[in-house]
Amino acid sequence: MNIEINIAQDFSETPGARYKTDGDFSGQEFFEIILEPKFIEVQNTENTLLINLDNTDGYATSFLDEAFGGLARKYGRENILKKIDFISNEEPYLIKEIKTYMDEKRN
Amino acid sequence: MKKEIKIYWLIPIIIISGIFGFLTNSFEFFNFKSEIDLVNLFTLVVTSSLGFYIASTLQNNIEVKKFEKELVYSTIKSLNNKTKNIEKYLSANSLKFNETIKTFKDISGLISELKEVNEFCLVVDNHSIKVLRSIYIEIKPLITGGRVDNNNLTLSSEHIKLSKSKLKKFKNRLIKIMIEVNRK
Repeated sequence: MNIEINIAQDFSETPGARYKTDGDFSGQEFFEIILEPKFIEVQNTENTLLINLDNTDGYATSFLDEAFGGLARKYGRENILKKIDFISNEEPYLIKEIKTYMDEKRN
Repeated sequence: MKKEIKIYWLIPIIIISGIFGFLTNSFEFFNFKSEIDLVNLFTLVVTSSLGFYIASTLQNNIEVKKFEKELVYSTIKSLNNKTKNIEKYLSANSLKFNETIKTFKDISGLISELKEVNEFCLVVDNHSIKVLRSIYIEIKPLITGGRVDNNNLTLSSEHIKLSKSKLKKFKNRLIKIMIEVNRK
């Protein structure tokens, strides 16, 4: 079974920058309120976390790095990629971009 | 300046040519036979059909190519405009966070569109589009990876300088692609 996070619906259509101090809807806020709790929920189950990136105004590198790079830094890139899938029809290259931020060698 | 030939000039030319033809008995050079050579007639029909087919096929190919080129040009033009927009605000160090993120999303979408269109028309070398994408990947973190203050992207002078040089590289690649399309 998939548990879905639709960023535009569940968080914001205008995701912000890295830290809460940068303004509303930051990567840090998304990580703390939505991403990490949902990941923990699926971590030791058969479920997968499906993240829908469509229908927002776009993503700053700082947001993606703080949220997804942060998750990879905390739980390990391979563990994350086993449990998370992405949907990005509007900007297909975004998935590849996120995976580079998850790269452990980079962090 | 474009020269125009007035139609009434043709009337005396036709009359003079007619008189000249009569005076020199030129009309007698034409012989009309009352029989039709079927082989010649067949050759005439085949030749004219072939000529018509080649001309219409060539014309059709030219029109298809022209349409495909225009499609690629319009995508490149949009990419160029978006890039110029970022460059303008970057120079003034007044990039607004929300607008810039939206513009980057548009640019990424346009690069994907260019790639998809080119898969059908093959007017651009795929390597050129890959280079365009790789420059985009270099620019985006430079501009959107930093801090934000009251919806303003705060960039150091070093970041601005580097971003400008990458944007120039991106625009140069767009020009190269346009030249490439024009040569096809």
